[in-house]
Amino acid sequence: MKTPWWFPATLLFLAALMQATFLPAIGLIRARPELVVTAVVIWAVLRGVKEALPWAFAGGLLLDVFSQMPLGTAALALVVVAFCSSVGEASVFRTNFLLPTVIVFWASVLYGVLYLFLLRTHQLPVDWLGTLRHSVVPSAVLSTLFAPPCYWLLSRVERRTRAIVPVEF
Amino acid sequence: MNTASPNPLVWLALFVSLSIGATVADSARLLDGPRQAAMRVLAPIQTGVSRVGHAVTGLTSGWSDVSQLREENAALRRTVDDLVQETVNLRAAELENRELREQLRYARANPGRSLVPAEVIGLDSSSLVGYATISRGTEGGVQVGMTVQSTGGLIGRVTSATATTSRVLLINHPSSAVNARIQNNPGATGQVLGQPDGLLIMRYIPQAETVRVNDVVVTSGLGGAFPANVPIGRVAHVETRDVDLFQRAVIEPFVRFDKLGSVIIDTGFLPAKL
Repeated sequence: MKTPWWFPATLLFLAALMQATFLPAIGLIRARPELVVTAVVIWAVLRGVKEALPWAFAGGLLLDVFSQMPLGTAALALVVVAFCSSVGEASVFRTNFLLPTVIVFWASVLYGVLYLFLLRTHQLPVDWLGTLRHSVVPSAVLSTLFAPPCYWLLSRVERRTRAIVPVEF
Repeated sequence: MNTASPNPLVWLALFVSLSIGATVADSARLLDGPRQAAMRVLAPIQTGVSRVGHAVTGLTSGWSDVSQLREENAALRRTVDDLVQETVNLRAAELENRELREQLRYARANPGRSLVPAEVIGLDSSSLVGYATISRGTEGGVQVGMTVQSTGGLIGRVTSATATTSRVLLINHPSSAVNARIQNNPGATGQVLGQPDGLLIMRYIPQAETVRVNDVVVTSGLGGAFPANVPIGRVAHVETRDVDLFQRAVIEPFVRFDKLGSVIIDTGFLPAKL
C-alpha cells in the first residue's frame, strides 16, 4: 500500500516547524537535532529512494521557507542525503534500529557539510571549522539520540502501509 | 508479477533538478509572490509555536528556580542591610536622575530614533548560520540594514525583509563586525567580531588605550553601519602583548542570543552608503 499523501506532509510540516521555531525558542543549547533529516533518512532506509526523495524535497523546501534561506538550499542537501541513506534499504539489518541510527549520524554530518557548502555558493559567509565543531557534530549526536524513537514511530507506520506482495510459484 | 522499478539515479536527477530549479527561480525572484503568501500564512503559526517554546522555557526555569530560592532569600536579607546604607547615596543620585530626565525629555522631543517592537519567531533551522527571523517586515517599516536590539543591547542588523517578517544577522556570528568603543574611554575604539562559541571579541584596540575588565562596550557609529552608543556588552578579559600593535578583549554580550524573545528595531536609522 502506498503511504497516504497527508502523512509525510503533516509529519514534515511539524518536524520543520519544531526545528525552525520551537527548539530555537527553548534555547537550551546552540545545537539542535535535525528532525527533518532524521525522519527523511529513516524513511529512506525503510522504503527506499522512490519514497524518500519526494519527502526530502518537500521537507527541505519547508525548512527553507521557515528559516527564510534561499529556496532549494536545504532541499538539495536533503535530496542528496536521502539518496545516500537509501542504500540502507538493501541491508538485511534495516529492521534493526541500530542501522538507521548509525546512518542518521553520518547523514546529519553529510547534510551539515552540504548545507554549509550550498550556503557558501549563495555568497553567505561560512565559518567552516567553528560551525562543524560547535554545530554540525553536536547536532548529529542529538539527531542520533532522537533516531530510535523516530525509527519506532516510522517503522510502525511503514508496517501498516506496507504492500503485501503475493508469491508466485 | 514483476514491475520494473525506475532507476534510482533517474529519481535523484529529477529531484536534484527540481531543487536547483527552485534555487535559480528564487534567486531570480520568480518565487517572491508565493513565498510572501506562504510567510503570510506561516508567520502567525511560527509566532504561536515560538511563544509556546518561550513558555516551556519559563516553566522549566521556574522549576529549577525553586531550589535556589532559599539561598537567594538569605542573600537578600544581607542585601537589605547594605541597601539601607545605600539609601543615603541614592539621595544624591536622585538629583542626577532629575537631570537625566531632562535629557530624556529632550530626546523625546527630538525623535531621531523611532523604535518598533517585534518578536523573534525563528532562528535558522540548522543553527549553522547566525540568523534570526523576526515578526515584522516591510509593512511594519522595516528595511534592510536597520539595527535590531533588545532592551539589553545590540542584537544585529536586518539583512532581508519580506512584507511580514525579516531576517537578522546576529552580531555573535563570525561574519559580523561592529565598530565599537569603550564607553568611558572614547579613544579605545575597535571592532567587535562574533565567535562560533557565542562570545564576542573586540580587536584592533590601540595599545596606548586603557581597557579594564567590566568596562562597557558600545557601538562607535564609525562607518555608519550602526548608530552610536548602543550597548554591546562588558569586557570579560583583556589580552595585551607588548609585541602586538593592538590589544584584544573578550566581550560578554548583554544579550543572551540563545534566548532571544522580544526585540526592538530602530526604524529611524538606516546605514550610510559609503
